[in-house]
Amino acid sequence: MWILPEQLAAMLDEHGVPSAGALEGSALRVRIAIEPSTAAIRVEARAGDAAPDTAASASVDVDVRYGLWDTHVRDLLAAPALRAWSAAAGPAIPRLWAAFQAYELLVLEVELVAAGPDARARGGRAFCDDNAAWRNARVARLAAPFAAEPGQALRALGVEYVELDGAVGLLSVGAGETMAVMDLLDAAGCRAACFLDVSGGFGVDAVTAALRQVAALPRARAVLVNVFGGLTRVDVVAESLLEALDRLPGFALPLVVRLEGTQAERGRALVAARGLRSRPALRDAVEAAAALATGGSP
Amino acid sequence: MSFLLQRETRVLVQGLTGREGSFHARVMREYGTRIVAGVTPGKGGQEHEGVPIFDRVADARAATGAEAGIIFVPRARAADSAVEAIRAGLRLVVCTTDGIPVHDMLRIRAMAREAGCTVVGPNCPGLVSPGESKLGFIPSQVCSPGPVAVLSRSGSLSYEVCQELTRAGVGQSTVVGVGGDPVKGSTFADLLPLLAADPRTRAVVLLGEIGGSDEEQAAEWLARNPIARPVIAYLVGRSAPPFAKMGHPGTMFVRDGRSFEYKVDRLRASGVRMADSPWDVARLAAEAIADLEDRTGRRTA
Repeated sequence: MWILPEQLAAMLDEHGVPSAGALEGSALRVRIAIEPSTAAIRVEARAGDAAPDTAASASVDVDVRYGLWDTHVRDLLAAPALRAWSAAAGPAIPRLWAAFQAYELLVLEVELVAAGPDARARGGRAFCDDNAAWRNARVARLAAPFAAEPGQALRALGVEYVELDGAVGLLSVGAGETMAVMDLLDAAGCRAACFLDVSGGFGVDAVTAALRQVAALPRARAVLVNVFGGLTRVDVVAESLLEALDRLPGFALPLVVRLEGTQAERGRALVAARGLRSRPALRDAVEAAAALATGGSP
Repeated sequence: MSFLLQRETRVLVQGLTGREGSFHARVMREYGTRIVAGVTPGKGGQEHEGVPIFDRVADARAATGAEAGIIFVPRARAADSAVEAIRAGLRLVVCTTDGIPVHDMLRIRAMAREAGCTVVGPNCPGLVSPGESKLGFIPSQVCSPGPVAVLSRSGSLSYEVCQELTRAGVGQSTVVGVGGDPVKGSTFADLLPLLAADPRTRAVVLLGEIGGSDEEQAAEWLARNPIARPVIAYLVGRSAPPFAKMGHPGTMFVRDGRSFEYKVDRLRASGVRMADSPWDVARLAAEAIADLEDRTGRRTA
């Protein structure tokens, strides 16, 4: 998650790069980030407003096994357009690196402003890895202010939630599958109202919370529940869905249910016994949900 | 011979005696996976459903000749389990666990590359060589043996696509879920060279998504190394808001405004055919295989 500006300022201060405050002057923009798909952390420096990939920008890849050494920093600032920064940024960059490591950041961007022989921090942003919160007290502190967001309560139930701007409340299992359905709805001319990936087992509590979230979205006109059960048994999914609907007597949005995979026939029979129609084909379910949400008949 | 995992491959399970490990090991054995050992520290010397248990991976490997491993260990010990498997000299390690800190994965990836070990995952469903063996929990009923290799950043989407392929009469040489985390043991670009050398793989399907640079790297590799096999890609997340975590942490890493379209352009420029739905993947794959058969037919005629 992107951390708060005051969290970033405190983190940098703790590591010896205090805030620039009202201090003016040209800046060296520093970015430290993991490079997904490689085993390196990239450190980039860019003078003032220079564009990336110009003479006033440079980068160095740091092998995570050996960490950042002064030689990396000298390489980074070796270009003529950056050399003037050696004195002030030379000592500050290893401190930024130390903060990056201590707080298990994935991205750190900040402007360094020269203050005599030293550097101060201005602006910037940082992204921390909430996967590390359980074992790193510093990361847990960074995550604490976000605990009250609606997405976090759902996450505790194994549901990933993102609010979107369309009319179909979307509950599905699996991140890629849910994104695929979201795109298919978009292509059918009716965007999703939310992304709800109920990957954590499709239990009654999770489904109830997810449906309650959809009902709270003023734009939602219909709901598409899509489960391709691999590991998850579809008959158990159907039971969870029906019990969740029992718990939400005021739930009035029309439902389109697509059940496929392990024990799907039994699952479809269970929902049919309650007067809910389900469809085996994803393509049909997407079309039906889009039709309902745009006011047509499914 | 299928790539990475064969019928004969001797497999050990880290966390075999746990609830999840024990359940999945049973399903894997029913499918045909040759599970020769389990590893649970403190339970060495016991047996679990006829499988010998060892305290350490190194002991299990020495006693049974296991060369591949799968990790069903809670996240607090999962990274350490991967390190142990790499240190013990396994050539293939699958880690299904999600929630492993990214900084741990950076070190594990570096360590695995140095040791020549292929790590698949974390946060993944594993891999299957249809009809032979599987490591993980890709549902075998959606797969069938055949000529198409499927590499996927998403487990659930790979099930959907494999079912479409199987229904279209197009079987799979291998299905690998590489996982949804930003830093993975194996990326598309890491696995493509292995597929290019696999005689049973005649076409490749890449199931990608927004975020990260796996698709761009795959495109780059394909541009430099024409593999003489048609490649089909289906990417999801086109309609997602930028920088959001769409279930997978890996979707958040968007660099320099590089969008969905950027990935599509890079793949197209490398000759990859783009599909826009799971059934479109099956259609394109069936066409690609039919083309290959026509050409072979003409050559032999």
